[in-house]
Amino acid sequence: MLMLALTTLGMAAEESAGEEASDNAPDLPELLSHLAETGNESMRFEETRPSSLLAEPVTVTGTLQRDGDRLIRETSTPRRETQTLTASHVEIRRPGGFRQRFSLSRAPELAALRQALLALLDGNLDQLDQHFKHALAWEEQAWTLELTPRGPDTAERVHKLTLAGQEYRLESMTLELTDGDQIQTRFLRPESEHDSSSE
Amino acid sequence: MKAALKVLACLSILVALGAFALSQLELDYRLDAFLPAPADPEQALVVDQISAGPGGRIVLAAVAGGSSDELVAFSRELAERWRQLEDVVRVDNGEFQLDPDTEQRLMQARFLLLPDVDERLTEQALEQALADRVADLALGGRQVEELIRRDPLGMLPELAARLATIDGGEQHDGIWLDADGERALLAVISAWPPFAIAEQTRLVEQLKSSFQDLPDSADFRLTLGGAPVIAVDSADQSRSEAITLSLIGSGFLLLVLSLAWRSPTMVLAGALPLAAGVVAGLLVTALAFDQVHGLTLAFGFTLLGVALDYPIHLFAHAGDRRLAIAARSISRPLLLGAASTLIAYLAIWASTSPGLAQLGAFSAAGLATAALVTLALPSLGIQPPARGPGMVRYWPYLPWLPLLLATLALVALVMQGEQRWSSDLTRLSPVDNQALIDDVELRQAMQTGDVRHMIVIGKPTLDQTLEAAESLVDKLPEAKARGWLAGWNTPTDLLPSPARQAERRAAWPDRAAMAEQLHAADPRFQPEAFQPFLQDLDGLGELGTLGPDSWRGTALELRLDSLLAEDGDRWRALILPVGLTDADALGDWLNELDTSARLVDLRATSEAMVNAYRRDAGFSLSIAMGLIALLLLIRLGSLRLAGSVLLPPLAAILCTAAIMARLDGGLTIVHLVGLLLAGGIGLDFAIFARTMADERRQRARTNRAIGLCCLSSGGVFLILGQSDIGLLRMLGMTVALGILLSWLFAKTCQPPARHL
Repeated sequence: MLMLALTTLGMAAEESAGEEASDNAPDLPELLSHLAETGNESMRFEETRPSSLLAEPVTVTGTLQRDGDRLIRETSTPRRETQTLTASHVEIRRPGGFRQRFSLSRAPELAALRQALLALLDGNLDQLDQHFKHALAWEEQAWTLELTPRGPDTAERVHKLTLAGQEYRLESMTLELTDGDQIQTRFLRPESEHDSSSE
Repeated sequence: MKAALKVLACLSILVALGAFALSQLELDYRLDAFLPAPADPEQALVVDQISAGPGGRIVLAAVAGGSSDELVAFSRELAERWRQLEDVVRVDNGEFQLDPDTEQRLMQARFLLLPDVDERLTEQALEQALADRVADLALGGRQVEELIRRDPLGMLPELAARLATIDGGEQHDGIWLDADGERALLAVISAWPPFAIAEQTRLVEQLKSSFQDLPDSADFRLTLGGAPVIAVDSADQSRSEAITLSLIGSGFLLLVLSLAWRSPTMVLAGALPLAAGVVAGLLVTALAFDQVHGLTLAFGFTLLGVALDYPIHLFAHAGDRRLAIAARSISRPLLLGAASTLIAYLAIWASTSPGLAQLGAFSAAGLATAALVTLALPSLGIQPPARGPGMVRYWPYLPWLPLLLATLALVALVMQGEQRWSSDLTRLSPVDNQALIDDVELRQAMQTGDVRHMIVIGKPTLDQTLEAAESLVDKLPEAKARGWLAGWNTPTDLLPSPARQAERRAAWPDRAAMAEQLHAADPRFQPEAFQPFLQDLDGLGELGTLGPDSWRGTALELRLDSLLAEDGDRWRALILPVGLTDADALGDWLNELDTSARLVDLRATSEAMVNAYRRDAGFSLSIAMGLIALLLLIRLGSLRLAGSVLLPPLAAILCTAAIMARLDGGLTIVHLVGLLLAGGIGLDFAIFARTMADERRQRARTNRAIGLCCLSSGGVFLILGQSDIGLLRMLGMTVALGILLSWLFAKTCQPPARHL
């Protein structure tokens, strides 16, 4: 019994050592705690997603904000709408009173996106751990966090979620689906720059 | 001992006969059986709607307990579980779901179902639709591609929104919650009409057990309402309570009679007239009617309570004489009383309501048989233990008292005005009061679950009916703009008139033109993107004209059937207003329009029916009353004597009516039945008290008999009056009070004996 525990510990140490390229680079908890400082601000994003129906990928622009355990995406193109992601469903509202909801079980990729971003914005390692296997890599000031979903329902649809950034800032996210679709998201610097002190 | 065996043998034969007759009867629990036969199409509609209307198949469910988030999750789980049940057509809890087959058929028919084809095909409309599809792709990706290929104009979601059954009101995370967010609301569409009791019972049990099977069900409470549940309750739950109360009542009766007669043989023999009456009643009802309503039996047994008194009179008058002599001596008053009561029951038999007619037939046949069997009891060779006539106790002779009280009661009833009557149909439902309150409350929470108002259109042919409905629906936006209603459900959403279908068919371009228009509207899409849609459009040529049978076998069949029906040689379409705020204005506006459409208020119509019904019953009973007075006059030979016999029961009925009208907030048909029974028993009391009290010993026997009758029958109905079921409580209390007053008045109207 003791042997088993020791072996497991050793493997964990080995694994975390392999993840970090340089000795003085911040580990995941530190990165998360820094990322969390900007957790309640709204982020501008630009997302591209290909479709076999379209000649060019769709580009979605808008802002992303959290509200408690909900993630709110307000898009301005291709259509002005608000997408609210809760634990169980997505609600879509459009100007003119249109409202539609569908279950997140029908869109596991959105569930994965919400779980990952909320954990990141909260700086909550446990939460991240609960939903994903993770691997962090640093190269100079740049980092890449690869998340692989643990839940079988999510894994059936989502292959991998890769987050990347400079220093303590999240810059991009790539959601790779099992059907081959890739959703690329770039996070833009906030228009007002007065919070650059967070660097 | 030999007599006891004979009695036992007779009783066994009667019980066996009764059980056989009961097993042969086809019992019917339709709620409308106690409603009068409809006099016009509007009333026919009300009876239809009450028994099998669109509201009639909806089980309303509320789940309480837990936070709103927990309720939402639980509602999803529960709906999912319920959707698997065999007797369930659909479960609505806010998420609109279509089964694949229905969705497929809607897809095929969508070109014919949606209006304004030209407006959908303008360049601007197409651009907007395709921009929306790009946004859908951005959100849903590959998963929504298939749907977009087939439905780039978003016609299916639009149809689905039009076809949502009821507006469950507040939505929380897509699930219906009540206004306070404390209960999740669900609507289950049953596969069966409300009067299919066996199937509905199975459904309600399955709904409850699948609720309990859910892992977290202990934290939640389920309340069910709606017509199917009410029907099951009335058949089931109320039956079990009625049985319990009847058992207690029978036990009480057995105790009283055993103490009074001190002979098991007599107690058994005392049951013979009643048993014979029940068997005769069952036989006559079964022969005269195709089906017997469950309530007829319950009420019928009750009305036969009069017969319970007959052996009491007989045995009391035996004293130390032979029973045959007693039978001869009481035959005159007994038959006079029975004949009078019979007149009243025959008057009920003439009623237009099938339920009441059955009740009259059952009770009349039963009563006549019981009276004759009572007089034949001595032939069994039984003899009550000899006992002295007992003492005649002093009782004040105050004939003016009933007269005074009757006058006061009459004044009170007159002063109460129309409120002395209750026209609320739901009070006549034989259901636990709490179930009724739950039902009303759930309907309110569901907002449009109350289908009180409906626009009715009737025309000789189907096509004319559909065209009339369409031309009205074309004008309804005007009424909506004035704020009278928020929307409507019309059968033409599923079945447009052939003319409209042809118009729409013609308005769609051919495949090549459509492909070109789509490409021009949004060149971002690949040229081949909408092949499935174009194939559907191509298939439109082969799709025949939709007819009333086009939705058979789908989840939409019930919806169309509830809104469109063939009624004799006419067709009838119902348009249900949603969010109606000003029924009067809408009704006036409809009348001014040059159409045949009328706004029917089910509640007002049903109240008018109940009123007419009561007037009918009142009229029959007044005639019966006149006939009874005439009969008494002829048999008793003196106006004064006839009057003094009629006064006590009449005064008792009036006083009981005045008291119950106050206590119960208005009298219903059930009260009238109770008053009738009390009147019959009271008349017997008065006849015996007046015509068999001249001689001291006879007077002592008569008064003992009346006292015992009052104690036994009054006690039984007092026990029945303790029920939670409004109907049983009203009946029990009315009869108990009526019997008590009849007894008191009969005694106070008994002049001092001459031979004391």
